[in-house]
Amino acid sequence: MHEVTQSIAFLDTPSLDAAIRASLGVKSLGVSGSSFADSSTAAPVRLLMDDTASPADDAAAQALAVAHDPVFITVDKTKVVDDGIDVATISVRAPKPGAAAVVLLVNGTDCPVTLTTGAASVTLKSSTPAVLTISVKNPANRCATVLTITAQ
Amino acid sequence: MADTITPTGNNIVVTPSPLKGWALPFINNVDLWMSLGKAMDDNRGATPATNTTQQLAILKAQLLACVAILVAAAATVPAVVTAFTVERSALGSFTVLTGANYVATINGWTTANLPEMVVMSQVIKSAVNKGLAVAALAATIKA
Repeated sequence: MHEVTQSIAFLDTPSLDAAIRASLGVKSLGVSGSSFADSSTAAPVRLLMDDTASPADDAAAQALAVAHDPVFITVDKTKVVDDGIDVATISVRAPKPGAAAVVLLVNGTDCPVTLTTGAASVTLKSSTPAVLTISVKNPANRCATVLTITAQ
Repeated sequence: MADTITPTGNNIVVTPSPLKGWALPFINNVDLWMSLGKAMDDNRGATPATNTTQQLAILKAQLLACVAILVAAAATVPAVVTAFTVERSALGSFTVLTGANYVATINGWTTANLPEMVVMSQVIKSAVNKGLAVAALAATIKA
């Protein structure tokens, strides 16, 4: 095993790890670093590579780290009353300068998010019982988080 | 039919499918279930509906056929409909009661036919809830 480092300002570790593995397969052994969304100062991320990885593979992994455009989604509660009134608030952050647009997928339906300085609060309410799965559309190298909100 | 998910700005609203929230009625009569199933099949039409108007027309025909059967059954089978349960489970799915076993075998129907059966149960339940005779409900549908 060997490792290469790349400094990036924002990191969603699972999605970067998944992106590198998807590209390089077993040549990637993982990403060492804690996700961070609030730092504007670049910090080194360790990319753990199998010894079968060539310099070109290392460079490809670094390129993915540079391109990494994380989206962080959290929700304030996982259950809402299905009365059409009770609201769950989904916090969305895409902190990278020039971040790509963010579209949430709610049970497969596109829900575009309007970001203000890289952040948004999205409200969700339901007038019917439902289990709502929320993810980020086109999640590769952006967000591996999947939220679930139950309306009942 | 899936729920409707409507994003407006940064607000997402989920509203129910028109067919959602109704469980199958428990009808304690296998023959009646089979008759209802056949009526739904017979009135489905040879050509699949390609638009909402056609779907509604087919559905209406199916419902009318079912109501007609229920009217006839009510005259001969006391307490044909013995219980109704409407379940809106936490998972938003239909709770299928004993009748489900019949549904699965009626004329080759599978769970894919559940929406139609649910509509039928909605008709029946509406009649009971509103204290209407089934025949009166049929007249309402025709109107």
